[in-house]
Amino acid sequence: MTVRTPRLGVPAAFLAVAFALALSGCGDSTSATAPTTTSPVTETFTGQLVVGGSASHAFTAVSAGTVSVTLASLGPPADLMVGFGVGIPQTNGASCLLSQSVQTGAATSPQITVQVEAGTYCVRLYDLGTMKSPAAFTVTIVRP
Amino acid sequence: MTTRLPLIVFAAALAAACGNGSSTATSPTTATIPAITTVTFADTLDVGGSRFYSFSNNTAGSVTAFLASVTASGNPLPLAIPLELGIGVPAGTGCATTMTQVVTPGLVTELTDSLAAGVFCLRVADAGALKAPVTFAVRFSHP
Amino acid sequence: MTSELTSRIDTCRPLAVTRVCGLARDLTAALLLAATALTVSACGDKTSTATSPTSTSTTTTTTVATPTTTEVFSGRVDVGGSAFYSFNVVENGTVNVTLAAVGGANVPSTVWLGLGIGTPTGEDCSAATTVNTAAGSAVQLTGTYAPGVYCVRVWDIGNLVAVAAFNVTIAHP
Repeated sequence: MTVRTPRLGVPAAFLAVAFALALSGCGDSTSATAPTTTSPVTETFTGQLVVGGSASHAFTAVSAGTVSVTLASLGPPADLMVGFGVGIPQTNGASCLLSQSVQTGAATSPQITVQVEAGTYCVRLYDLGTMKSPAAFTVTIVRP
Repeated sequence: MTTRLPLIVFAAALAAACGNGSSTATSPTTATIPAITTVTFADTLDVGGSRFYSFSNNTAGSVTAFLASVTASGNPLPLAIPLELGIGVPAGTGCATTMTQVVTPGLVTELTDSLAAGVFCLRVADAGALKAPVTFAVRFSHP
Repeated sequence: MTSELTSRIDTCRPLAVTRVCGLARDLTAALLLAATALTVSACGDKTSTATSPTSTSTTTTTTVATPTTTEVFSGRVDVGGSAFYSFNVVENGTVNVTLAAVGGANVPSTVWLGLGIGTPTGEDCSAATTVNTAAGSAVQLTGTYAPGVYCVRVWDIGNLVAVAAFNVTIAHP
């Protein structure tokens, strides 16, 4: 009498494959996201400075970083010098409270470069007492 | 047919066991970031004097501050005069500080402290360098 | 794979080996079902055993402590001005405030001032509970306060013609 013992190799293989599929189906998958970077923003502030007066412009740095401000044009006269500074706006917006300032005329490169936290700041020009007539100006602000 | 039945049952059980995993997935948890309040505290400071500003922390968190500006009263020209910044708790007619730092005007954080929820104060004082009253401006942030 | 499995089992049909093949078949089925049970349990964090919610009711009694500390706030109020004093309540309890005395050149002792209890805010005291009162020995303001920092504020309500000196007593836990 021949006794044949059926092999269990195929069901076992099927079982192993099924286990692997089941366990993989119960897992979570995660994917990493690339960090985003933002470029500096350039703003332009133009106006007219009256005799004995001042002019301010508020801007917002969206992140900590470097702010560069340039009094790009001023006059007439072409050799006019004014006070030029960076600070924070008063709560009521009435004025710009300066952190640092220089006495300068127009130039092509930044007169002030400063590190800031994220937040709202301001640039301010003011007559040093030497103006004889109103003067037009252009200020360039590069900020985060 | 009957020999296939256990396999069919097995496959069906697998499908039932893992097939609806996506319907019970849990949403990822996100840390709650407390809202930050930013304050500009500006006032005049006499020679030898101090001022303080009280604030309430809604939750525990970091308080940061910088002395943004010091100018002579009525003059926009900024001065590089050091003042003392401090953080503490209002007590009596003043602010009892637990941390102080002498700083010069700038636009980056100069003082940081980790505080619980509750009422606190930020104090600005003459560090000994004043010869005349000045106008100061401090910016600070708290939770 | 399934048809190959079927043909292998079919080779067990001859009578002499029927009992062995039937046993093998039952064993295979049992193993598969057991594997199914294990697989379901491995993925089984989706299954949970619900339990009936239990509810218990508790009664919370908040103790109201009596004042244990008395502070004296001595100050001056300018015409149209104000002054405040901060204090710390260490446990839930009663706070009693008394405008005990008012005086000064051209300031009658019976002049009415504003008196309030509140929270230090900004450069002032934000008084949530206020009263207009003359100085006296009886408590003019009282309340129950949780632990925390509070303030008492005194101010000119429009009656002063000169700076007034005052004393306020603050009793608190």
